[in-house]
Amino acid sequence: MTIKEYNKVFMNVFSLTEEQLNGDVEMGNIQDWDSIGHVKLITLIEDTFDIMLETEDILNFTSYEKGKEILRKYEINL
Amino acid sequence: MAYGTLQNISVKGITCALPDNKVDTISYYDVFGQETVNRVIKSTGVESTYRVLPKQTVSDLCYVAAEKLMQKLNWEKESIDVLVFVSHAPDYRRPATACVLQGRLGLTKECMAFDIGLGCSGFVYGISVIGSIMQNPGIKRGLLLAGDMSSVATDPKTTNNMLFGDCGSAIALERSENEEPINFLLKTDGTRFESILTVGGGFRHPENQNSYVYMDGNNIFSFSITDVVRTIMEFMDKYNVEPEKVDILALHQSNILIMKTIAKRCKIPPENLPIVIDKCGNTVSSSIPLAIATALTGINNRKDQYKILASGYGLGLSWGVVEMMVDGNILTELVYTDYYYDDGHYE
Repeated sequence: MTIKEYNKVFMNVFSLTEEQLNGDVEMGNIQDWDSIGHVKLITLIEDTFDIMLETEDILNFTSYEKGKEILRKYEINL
Repeated sequence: MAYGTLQNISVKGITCALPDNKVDTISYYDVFGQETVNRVIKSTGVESTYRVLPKQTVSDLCYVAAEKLMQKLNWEKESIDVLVFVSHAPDYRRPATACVLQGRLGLTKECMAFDIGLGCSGFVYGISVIGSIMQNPGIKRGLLLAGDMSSVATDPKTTNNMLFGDCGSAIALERSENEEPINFLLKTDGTRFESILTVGGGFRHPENQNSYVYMDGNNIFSFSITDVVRTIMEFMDKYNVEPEKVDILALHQSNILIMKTIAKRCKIPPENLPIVIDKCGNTVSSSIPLAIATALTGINNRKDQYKILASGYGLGLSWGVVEMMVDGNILTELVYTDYYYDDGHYE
């Protein structure tokens, strides 16, 4: 699994370009990252990486960077 | 702990009545723009809803469903001992809509009737309450009527308005020997009551005329994937429910992705999760009976029995789980109606 796939999820869910993916991408800063966007993001992350996130991890997955940290727990190093 | 078991109760039939007024979600393009509407459709699954017609209320839908159901079951009106109406959309401030329906349906004075004011958890609470009453041997037949018309309770200027449909359901229950027990688990967290709230129309703020529902999407999402999932798993553990033996996981139809997320965490295969939110939207307390009736109606060669695990969750916050076994020959039907009750007070 590569950072490209991780980025693709964010680009797909929030209609962002790869250049826009940085530390500022977080819930509250992105227009579509509301509760509906969040469930879509989590669904696609789980499908892409074939994992099932713990509930706390779903709730803490609130930014592009935090997401990378969380995925490390699932042995996905981006 | 609000665990419970109901003995000797059989679910004989489920009929759901939808208004004869289909609204495609893409018809909102002019209101919210194509991009926004498509995003909502993709994220929630709601492609269409059925909306009440002018003068039509949810009691009319439940009335039609109950009449059809009693007729198909050949149940005499005088055989109904209890009627429970579960909804947040009563016809009047008072009396209870169940009393009005008891009269309209021509049930006898020997029938007890009352309302339960709950939303998305209404079906599981309703089954638990009516089933508990029916533990008394003298009470042999009951009608649970659950429905809502939230399409008119959501602000048409917000995208939430696209998500809600209207429906009335009737569930026929009968006392009979040697039935599998019905198990339930019910929970409440009133400290989060403001997550889904309508202030107007109540007595605390009589000056407030805003009758539209407010929803805190983030709180509801968090509630759905934490409390609801944990409660279903707690229930499955308590009653030794094996995921692979659940034929139908009837979840409240809140959001297609949330429902799939819940099913995945409970290890129940997605093919056993009936989806009706796509065609009918979120129909609140009737969404579970609508899902069950739709799933069973769509099966040509039914099995002898179906194990149903149902979970309703929403405003209150209120949620619960119920497990029941239903016969393969249970009567299920979906009807569409433009009927409304003229109570003589329109002009």
